Amino acid sequence: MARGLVEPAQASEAALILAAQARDQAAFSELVRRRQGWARALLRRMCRNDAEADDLAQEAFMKAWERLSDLETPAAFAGWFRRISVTTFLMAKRKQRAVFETLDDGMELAGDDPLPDSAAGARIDLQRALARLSDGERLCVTLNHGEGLSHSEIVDMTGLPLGTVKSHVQRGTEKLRKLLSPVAA
Amino acid sequence: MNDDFNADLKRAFAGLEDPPDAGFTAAVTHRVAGRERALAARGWLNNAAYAVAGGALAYALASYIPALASSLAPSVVEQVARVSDLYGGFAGGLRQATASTILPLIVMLGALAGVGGVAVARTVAD
Repeated sequence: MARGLVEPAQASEAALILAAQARDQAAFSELVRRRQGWARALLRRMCRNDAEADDLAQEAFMKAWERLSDLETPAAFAGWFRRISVTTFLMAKRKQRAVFETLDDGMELAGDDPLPDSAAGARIDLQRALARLSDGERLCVTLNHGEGLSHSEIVDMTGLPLGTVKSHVQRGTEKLRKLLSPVAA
Repeated sequence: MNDDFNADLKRAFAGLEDPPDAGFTAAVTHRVAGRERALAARGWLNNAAYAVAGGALAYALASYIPALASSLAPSVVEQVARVSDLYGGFAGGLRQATASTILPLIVMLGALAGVGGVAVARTVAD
């Protein structure tokens, strides 16, 4: 039901957001189409399971639809939606009773063998390497290295203590370095 | 060396491909439409409930007040000259009016309870 926007496909993201805030479902649908790749990729890096990540991405978009009136400016949409996605992920993990607040690794590395240097390049290796980190390490490394957030921004978004965030980033990064290093001769 | 790896890691993240849509947008669009239809239906039901409760309340009042007035009027006129019997006459008129209009009274109380219940439900839902 389009009201106000004649061609959502040609509208700017800001115009789509303003129209969606006025409960224009066609505008919100176009917004989802444009942002779903980024949102699902973010959640797939945080989750170990692509299907679970896509379910959480749907939940995040539903929450965004319900709370779009809270968004003060369209320019803030990316950061605002990232926060919703991370919160949705954390709530799902807390329901599963995942432990984030300790420094213990959720899963030990299966030996120190690095991943094979595949012909498809580091892209596939990184996704597989991320799956071998603990939930907390994967979350913090994704937000720090993948989304460019600082430690304090990660603290603000996740509610984790600063020391925990720093530890997760450091340990996660070190694990990835070991996993992604070339096979020793 | 750590800085080199961190830079490589950031580039690797940037190089990760986004997953194809594969019906995701359609699924979200469908859920949003379903949610809005459910909200619209709930709003309609709430308004209908208020209308029914209001109508019942109006019917009860329309039945009860005239009966009360017609029962009390002779007593009031009669008792105006006898101050000591005023309270007894008023109470008797009230009892007579209530006995003859018990059904509208029940309907009125039920309507008030219904209006209150719908109001509470809407407050909780919001």
